[in-house]
Amino acid sequence: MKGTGKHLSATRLLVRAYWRKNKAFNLILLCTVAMVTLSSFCVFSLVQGKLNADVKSYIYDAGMTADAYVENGTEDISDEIENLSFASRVGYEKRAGKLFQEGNPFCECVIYEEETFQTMVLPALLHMEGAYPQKCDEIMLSTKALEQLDINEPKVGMTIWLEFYWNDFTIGKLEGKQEFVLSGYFKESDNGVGGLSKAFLAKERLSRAGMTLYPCRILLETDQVYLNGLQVGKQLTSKIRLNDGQYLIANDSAAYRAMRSSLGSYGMAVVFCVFLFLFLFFILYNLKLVSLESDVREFGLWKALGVTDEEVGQIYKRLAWDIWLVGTGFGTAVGSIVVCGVFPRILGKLYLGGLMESDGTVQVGDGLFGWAHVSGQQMVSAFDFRWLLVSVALTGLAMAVASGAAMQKMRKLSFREAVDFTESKAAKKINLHRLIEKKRKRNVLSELAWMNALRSKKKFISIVCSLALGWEIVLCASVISDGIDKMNELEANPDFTIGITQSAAVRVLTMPWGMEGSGLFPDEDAKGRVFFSDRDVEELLARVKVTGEVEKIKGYIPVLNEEGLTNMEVLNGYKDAWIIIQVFDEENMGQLLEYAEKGDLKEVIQTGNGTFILHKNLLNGMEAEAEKKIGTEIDVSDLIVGVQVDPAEKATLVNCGYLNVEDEAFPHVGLAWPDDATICLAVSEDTFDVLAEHMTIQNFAVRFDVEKEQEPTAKETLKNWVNQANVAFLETGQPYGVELFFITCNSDAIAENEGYIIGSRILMFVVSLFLVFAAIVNYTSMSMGNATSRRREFELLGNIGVTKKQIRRMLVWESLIYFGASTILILTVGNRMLFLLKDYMESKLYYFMFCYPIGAWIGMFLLFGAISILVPQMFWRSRNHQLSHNYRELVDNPSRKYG
Amino acid sequence: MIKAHGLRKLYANGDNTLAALDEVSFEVERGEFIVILGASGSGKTTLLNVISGLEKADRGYINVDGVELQILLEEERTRFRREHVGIVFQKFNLIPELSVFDNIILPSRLVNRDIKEEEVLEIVDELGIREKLFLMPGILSGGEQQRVAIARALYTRPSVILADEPTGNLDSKNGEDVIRLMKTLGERYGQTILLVTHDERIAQVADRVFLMKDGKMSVSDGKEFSLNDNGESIVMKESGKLSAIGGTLS
Repeated sequence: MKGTGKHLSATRLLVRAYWRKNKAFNLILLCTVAMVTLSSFCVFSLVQGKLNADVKSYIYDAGMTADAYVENGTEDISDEIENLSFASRVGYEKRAGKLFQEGNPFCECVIYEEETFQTMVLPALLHMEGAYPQKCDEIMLSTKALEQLDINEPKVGMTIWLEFYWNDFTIGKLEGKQEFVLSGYFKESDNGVGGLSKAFLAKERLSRAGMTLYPCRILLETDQVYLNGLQVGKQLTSKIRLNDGQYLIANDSAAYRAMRSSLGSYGMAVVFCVFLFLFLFFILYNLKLVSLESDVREFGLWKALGVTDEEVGQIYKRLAWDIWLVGTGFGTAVGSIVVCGVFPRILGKLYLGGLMESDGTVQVGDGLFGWAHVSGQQMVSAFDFRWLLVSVALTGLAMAVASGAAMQKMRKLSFREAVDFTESKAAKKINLHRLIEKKRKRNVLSELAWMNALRSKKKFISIVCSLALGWEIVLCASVISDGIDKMNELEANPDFTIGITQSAAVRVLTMPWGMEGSGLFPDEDAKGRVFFSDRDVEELLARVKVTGEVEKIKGYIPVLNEEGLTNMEVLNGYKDAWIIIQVFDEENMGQLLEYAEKGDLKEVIQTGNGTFILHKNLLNGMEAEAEKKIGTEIDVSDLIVGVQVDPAEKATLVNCGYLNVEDEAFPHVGLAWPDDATICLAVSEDTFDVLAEHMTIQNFAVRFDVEKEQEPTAKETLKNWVNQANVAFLETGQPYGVELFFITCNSDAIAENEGYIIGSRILMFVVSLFLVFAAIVNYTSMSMGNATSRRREFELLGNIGVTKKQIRRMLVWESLIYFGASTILILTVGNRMLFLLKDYMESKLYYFMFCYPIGAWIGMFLLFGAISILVPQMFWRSRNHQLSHNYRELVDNPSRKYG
Repeated sequence: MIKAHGLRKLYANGDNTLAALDEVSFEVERGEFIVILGASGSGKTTLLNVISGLEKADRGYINVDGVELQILLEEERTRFRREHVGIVFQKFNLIPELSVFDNIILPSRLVNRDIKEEEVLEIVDELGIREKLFLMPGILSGGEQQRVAIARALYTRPSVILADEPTGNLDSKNGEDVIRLMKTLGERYGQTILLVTHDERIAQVADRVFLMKDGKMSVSDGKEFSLNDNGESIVMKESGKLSAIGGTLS
């Protein structure tokens, strides 16, 4: 008796029967499992890939992977840091000395431990040839430094004569002009600061000179990437005890910044994931739910034959398991090919194309950021095994929960209830007379569709919510995609920003009279020491056609009296920082007041002599001390070295509080010198005017727009002006490389970021496409599954004279009811959610630009509308074809054998 | 074999309750062929469901083949059913996706009994469906499908066979054949058969007849009987006395 179930267990026999009975539905379910696995894996991987690429980009900008460091760290501090539970990696950087050219420093010489270099520095280099120096006379230079030395074609192993001096003047060994062997060279990212480039020396050089690694900068990477720099700083200061001269800087990690620029915050990412999980979960859950009715009836009959609930459960689980296994297997296989084979190339080429040259260099990066060079192509790994697991687990969970719900329902019902099971609680409540009356007036098919759709309110709500959720996620993705576009950030900037560099200004002002290089201001009168006078500004602006207002960032470069300096003592590293006074207009000052939540100080700040002390993550663990300082006076006067300050030229400010510019909620106000080592005393326009009576006004920068068609010409004109001014500055005896003026052209920034912007847009578009795809899978599978699982019901309707055309129309009506309900949900709750998202993102990203996703809205509306109408039609066409095929086969061969 | 006493089963019907079984008591001996007559909604099917363990009576005592059903949990009643009871449904309830053979052996597989081909063939020969053994039920006639359902009920050799209007979907010729086969095979294998029907002619071949009305039962005490005009009572020909339903006749 071959081909029979003689040797099969009853379970297997029933599984076979169930599979055959629900073949079409199970195939839809299987395909849906595969599609859900595929789309969730691809969406999460793409977002992960974008984050990886952003992380990489931020690491290039930062120059290393470390998020925090302790300056002048000792061995004790090092031990303490290494023992911190949240420290994922600790490294050491010794700022050992400098390379000089014609008496001027041009390179900062840094010594790393080999491991620190490999793990924390190398990932931030764009290109590297050779190896880290091992011997005392070996050196690794940047291509920028080599160009400065007129070496355009460097070769590893070549010898170079360089002038080297230790930072510690007490060390005399191995100093002066000497021969170095080039162990390697690298290209570092130009972060625009314009500081000295780095050179790497061997650790052996330290020991040969009789020096130790400590004190050094202790670098730290934390595993708490979801915390911002401020939070990490607070944690660190609560755990380690810093001595005098030691201070801690904690910045937002690259991962944190990538997340923030993409989704606002880790919290938002979690919310996004939860919504996506829910949506994907409900795709499968609802699909299983539509077959619940027929499943329960089927199982009721099995029970009559003596199949226990436990066995029904086993069979149902077995079926769900088989479908899940095959579906996720297929989804995983296709997803892995796409994620591992296609995404990395797309991401590397489109997204980071502008950052790196495709030159087949050595591999840089590590597992965390998943970066690799393969066959000369830039690639960003988007594959993360955890996302694969999540996708697979998600489908498994949905199948398990839906199967569990069916089994629970089954167990609760008696045989009689099970075989007669319908989810028509709502229908039972319908008043028959009312219904007949309605049917006289209305289309009976639409009435039937209403009854079917509302047969189970729970199912109706679940399906409508799921459809709306899919739709909403697409809309949210569109809002985020448009809103975080880097172009928004760039377009918010003025066309041109021209200003004075901190390095030049500080160098000139701190140089005693008479020294070489102090010739810029031969007049000893402090009032005459203006770098960028109003006259210069006017002359500059006269050369171009300016549109709109010209924004001047202005203030003073002060020196503080001793008492005033005590206000700075609560700020870590204040001794190494430069203090400036900057004026903020009424609007900006209002924003600062609102942020500081110090409405009571409004008068002092706006019209008195109050000041906010703006710093960058320097106030770690000193909050209580800082609070005590508020209200104390700070005497300020023009910074002049070597000249006695006239007491009449002093002004007094009142400390109104310390504000951290790195804080996420800190308002977006333009800062003159937004670097780590600048402390800014923010004053109002009234206070600024009072100070003007005693101090010299400095224009730190001017920002302005020009007529669009004039922009290229204006750029050339302005660059020429800046170049000439810098040449003139050099001629006053300044060292090579130190420039007085900088110019930032927004068009250059846009051009530089063009690759990133286009790549980012394409990436977000692809993510949106996958989400749309998932939404389509959701709606289509639900429509088809619904029609398939109600085969017997349609046969019954056929028996009482309802034509197939009418059944088709009834199904279209049902789809339209779901579609209509989803549309209403989107228009009400969905819109509210979009505006909540807008508020949230605007609070997180100053450049976030909300744009109502009307295109995506209409697209989804048309798509869902088309599915509502077309799927039932297509389904019935194929089904009719199938039925007629089966019938013909039966007529031709009536003794057809099965089994 | 089957002992029932004071069985009561109520169903909620809106705000009212309906007694599907109302103090039903009876005894059935092994090998008896019992026909249960009654109008629709009289409680016939509920009685079969309670005997098979598909449903539990709200009150009363029922013992089938030495097993007291009222104290069993649902899972235990299911196990009891598959070991002791074979059911033939009006709508056949064959699994259309399994062949005739697989349908017949399914209950045996549930109790992990070895499948003996000769036993299957013996039954299908008796029922005249040998040629149909590997066909799918969907292409069989109604009579053939019901024979398959009977074969399925008989093959596990249950001590009790319950048939719920097995001829309801058959023409009179097929109906008679099915009843004849059930009686013959039941006698051969010593199986107790309880058969629910509307058809008075079928009742003529029964050992005894149970008449149900509004959940109450009347039992004939001999083979010779006939129904009165309105079908509410049984006239026992041996004793010449009427056995009343609900005590209204005398």
